[in-house]
Order: sequence, then structure tokens, then C-alpha cells
Amino acid sequence: MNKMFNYLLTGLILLVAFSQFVQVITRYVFEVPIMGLEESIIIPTMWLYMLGAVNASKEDTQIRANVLEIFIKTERGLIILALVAEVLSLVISFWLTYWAWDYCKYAWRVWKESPTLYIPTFYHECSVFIGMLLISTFIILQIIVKARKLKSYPHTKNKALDYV
Amino acid sequence: MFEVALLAVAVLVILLTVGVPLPFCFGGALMVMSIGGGVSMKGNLMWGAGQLTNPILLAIPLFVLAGTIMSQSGIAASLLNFLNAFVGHVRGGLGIVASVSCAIVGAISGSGLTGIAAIGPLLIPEMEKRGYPRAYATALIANSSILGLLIPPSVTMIVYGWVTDTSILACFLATLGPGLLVTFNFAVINMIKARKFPLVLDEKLPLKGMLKEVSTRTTHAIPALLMPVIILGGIYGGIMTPTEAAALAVIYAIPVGFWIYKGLTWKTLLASGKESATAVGSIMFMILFSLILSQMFVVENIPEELVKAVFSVTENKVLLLIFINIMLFLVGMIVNDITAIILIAPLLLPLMTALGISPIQFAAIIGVNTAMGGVTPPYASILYLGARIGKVKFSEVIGPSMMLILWGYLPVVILTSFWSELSLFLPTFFGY
Repeated sequence: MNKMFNYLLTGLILLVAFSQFVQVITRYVFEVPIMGLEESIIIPTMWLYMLGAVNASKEDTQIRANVLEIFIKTERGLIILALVAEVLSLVISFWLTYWAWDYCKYAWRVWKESPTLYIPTFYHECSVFIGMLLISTFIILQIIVKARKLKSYPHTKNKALDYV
Repeated sequence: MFEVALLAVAVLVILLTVGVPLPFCFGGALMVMSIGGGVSMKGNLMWGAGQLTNPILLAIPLFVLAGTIMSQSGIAASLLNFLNAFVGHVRGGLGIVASVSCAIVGAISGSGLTGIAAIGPLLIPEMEKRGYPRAYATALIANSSILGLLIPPSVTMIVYGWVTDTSILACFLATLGPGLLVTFNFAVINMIKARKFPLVLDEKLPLKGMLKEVSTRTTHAIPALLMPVIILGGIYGGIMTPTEAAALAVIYAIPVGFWIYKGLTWKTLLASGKESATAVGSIMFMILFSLILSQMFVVENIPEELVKAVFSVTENKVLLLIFINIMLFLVGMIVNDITAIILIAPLLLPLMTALGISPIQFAAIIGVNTAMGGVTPPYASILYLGARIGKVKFSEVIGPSMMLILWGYLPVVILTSFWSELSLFLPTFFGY
């Protein structure tokens, strides 16, 4: 799965970069801009954003502030805090997934097409729902991992780890 | 509705404090606005997703990728060697190299993290070997890394220009003056501090030998030095948009990394791609929800309510500017720069306009404050990364970092707020 994400994400970001590069060359060097290139870039771009976010959830590297963490002195306390944060994330994520599903249904029903190449916008609009669904799944996995860690953790008063 | 908005902000702060990922903190605030205030998510999610497809935002993944490739490829190392040829024999020279190379890297990557990621692993061990305390070297490079947010092109200014409908090129120019001033301050602070360190300096070569050394290193650095020239020349020459310049930087960096500096391999390219895409994904996911929340506030006239509420307390411009600076700094301490800008810029812009501050000067004010917040705990992502790269305890970096913030950043924040020419001279000169 890791390998699949490596290739998929690298492929998507390079595709986006290369498409923009082609746009620069055709527009400024050959002075013949490619019709519809901008609207076709939207598909890999949206999938790049959403799958990148999914991978961040999978690797547990979503951006966090962690203010309270500074004041907690035991490692067990830190695990409990992380677990609370994951549970709150899951509740919010479910709510957002519901609305993403609503948006996906709307995109399917309306079946809009792009103005030049008539590409159905559903192809990139559905990425929000699929992304949210996968993110919710990875949050559940994180909750399981952290709950197991808490269960197996000895009830000793260890000093909290430093940031390094 | 103003009360519901305040409740949403309170929920946002609580979730941030607990350590919920930023996108879900905004999601929580959206829940409050939707359930408590009756604002529907139906159209808003569609609107937010539509906004993400804006070509302007495409510059973000491309600059992030260019920066990551640059870190891996040896481009940064050649820049360091080049700069060191000029000041390597001067006391404190290596510290100046650290600041200036971070500024140059900022002119390539547009991000605050690239400087520490690209320069840190190369320069921190070298600075320690030459007699600089490791914690000081780490703090200096981490703080200088923030210059990536001020030296154009800057991802934060792209986002600011996009959310406030201000010229992005003018915003780039607005933060250039403050950015150069911070670089200068760091160089001066470093020269003063370096007097106390037992430094080992490069041997001072005779003029002929020095010219030969400079010429060799310059030749080696030319492909690397061309990167900022392509990006900035392309943008300010009116040839390319920032997004196109970023794409060109990526396509240029790949062969240069593979065949000239030879630091890039297929394996590192794959790792760079995944790393960049993940970073971009988490940024964009956060932008999606923070943007929707910001839009809800705007639709519900919260900025106007805020202006009224603030003016009911005082109309004194100096007091309000001090208050706004403190607020921006505190927000920058809690959340990252992009989030702070998306959430705060549309809220405060009407207030700033009412105070007679132009959107371009506000770009510089918000830029320097959020940059300073980026190296101030608890959300000091760049300092945390610096501590990891420098292999020093975070608590050891705090002291020298606070000294750099106090003498390096704070005077620039004050000047940017109260001396408009610092941020407006260049935009005015270029006709914005």
C-alpha cells in the first residue's frame, strides 16, 4: 500500500507540474496554447490534494497545534490526549463525510461538463467524498492503535518526552 | 449570528488546544455555524471545493515540490559553497552565509520549511565544527528559514492575494523590504554574537587565490543561481504567472539535480514526490475547511460587526495597530501561516481599510507577524523541524531563538506597521 501511494502521489504531482510546463512552452514559445489543458489539469490536481490529505492521515502527519501537550507531564497523559483528539476528529470527520456524500450525489445527479472538452466534473468532484471516507477510515485505525497503546501502557509516572 | 461566530471561534481554539488536526478544528467550527447558526453546508462545500481548483493555488504544490527537489539534489549545497567563498574567512561569516542562503532558498521555494530542510543538514554540523554552539546554529538557520515566507515568491502571499483579491505581485514586493531587513538584522546579530564564540575561520587566501576560488565556486553554482533568476525574472518580467514559474522551476530542477549536481536519484525523486504531495494534501485539506469557515463569516457580515465592535472601544490608530499586531502574532503562534491568513485576512481587512492601511501594506504586516509566529511555540513547526535536524533539544533552541525574534523580527514588525514606506516603496515603484 505504501508503494502504491508513493507511485500514485509522485505521478500526480509530476503530471500537474509537467502539464503546467507544457502550457508555458506552448503558450510562450510556440504561441499556440493547448485548448482545454487548464480544465483537464483540474482532475489530477483535485485527486492530488485529496489523496495527499489521505496519506497525511495514514501517516498521522496532519498539521496540529498540540498546545495542551506542553503542559502534560506523563506519557500516559499524552496518549490519552491523542486518543481524545482522534475521537473528536472522527466525530467531525463523519459529519464532513456526510456533507461530502451529499455533494457527491449532487455532482452525479447534475452531471456537469467542462466548457471546452466536455469532461464530466464528477470525475474530480467525487474525490472529496472518497478522500473523506478514506480519511475517516484511517482515523478509526489511529484510534485502535492509540487505544491498544493505552491499554498496554504501564501506569507509571514517566516524564513526558521532549519534542526531539 | 455574531454570538454563534464567537462560539465557533471558541470551539476552534479548544480543538486546536486539544491537538485535533487543523482541518477538523475548522470542521468543528463549521459544525457550530451549521447546527447552531443554521448556515447550510450544502452549497458551501461545493463552493470550497470549486475554489481549490483555482489555477493560482496550483503554485503551492509546485513550489513545495521545487523546494523538496532542491533539498535533495545538491542545488542548496552549491549555493552554500558559493556564498561561503566570499565571507568564509570573516568572523561570523558562516552565520551570515546561513541567513543569506536561507533568503535565496526562499526565493526559489516560496516556503518557510525548505530553508531549514535544505540548509540545516549541511550547515549545522559545519557551524558546530567551526565553533558555533549547536543550539545557536540551529536557532539561526530555523529563524532564517522563515525568510522563505517574506522573500518572494511566497506561498503565504499567494494565498493572501487570492483571499483578499489583491495583486499577488504587489504582495510579493510588499514583504521583500521587511524580509531583507530581517536578513540584515540576523547578519548583524550574528556578527555581535560571533565575537564570543571560539571560532575556527577559513584561511585568508591571497587576492589571486581568492579570485580563483570564487571563480571556481561561481561556475559550479551557476545552474543553482539560475533558479531564482528564472522564477523571479519570469514573474517580474511579466513573462509567466507564479504558477507557471513554479512549474518551470520543478522541470528545471529535475535534470539539474540528476545530471549536474548528481544529488537526485529515481529513489529520492520518488520520495520527494510523495513527501511534497502529502505536505500539499494536508495544506489543501486545511485550506478547504478554513476557507469555507471564512466565507461563512463574510456572508454573515461578521467582519463589519467586528469593525463596529472594535471602533466602539477605541478609534486610535496606533492603539488599534498595536492590538492587531499582538492578535496576529498570537494567531500565528497557534496556527500556521496559511491558516492564519485565510481566517484573519478577510476578517481584518475592512478594519485595516477603515484605519487607512492599504491591503498591500496589510499583506506585509500579516506576513511578518505570521512568519514570527511560525518560530514561536506552541505552533513553531519550523523550530521543531530545526531541533530535529540539528539534533538538539527543543528547550535548548528556545533561548537563542527568542533572542533572534526579539532583536531580529520585532523591530521589523514595528517598522512594517508604523512606517508604510518599508512595505509600499517597491510596490509603488513598480506601479501597483
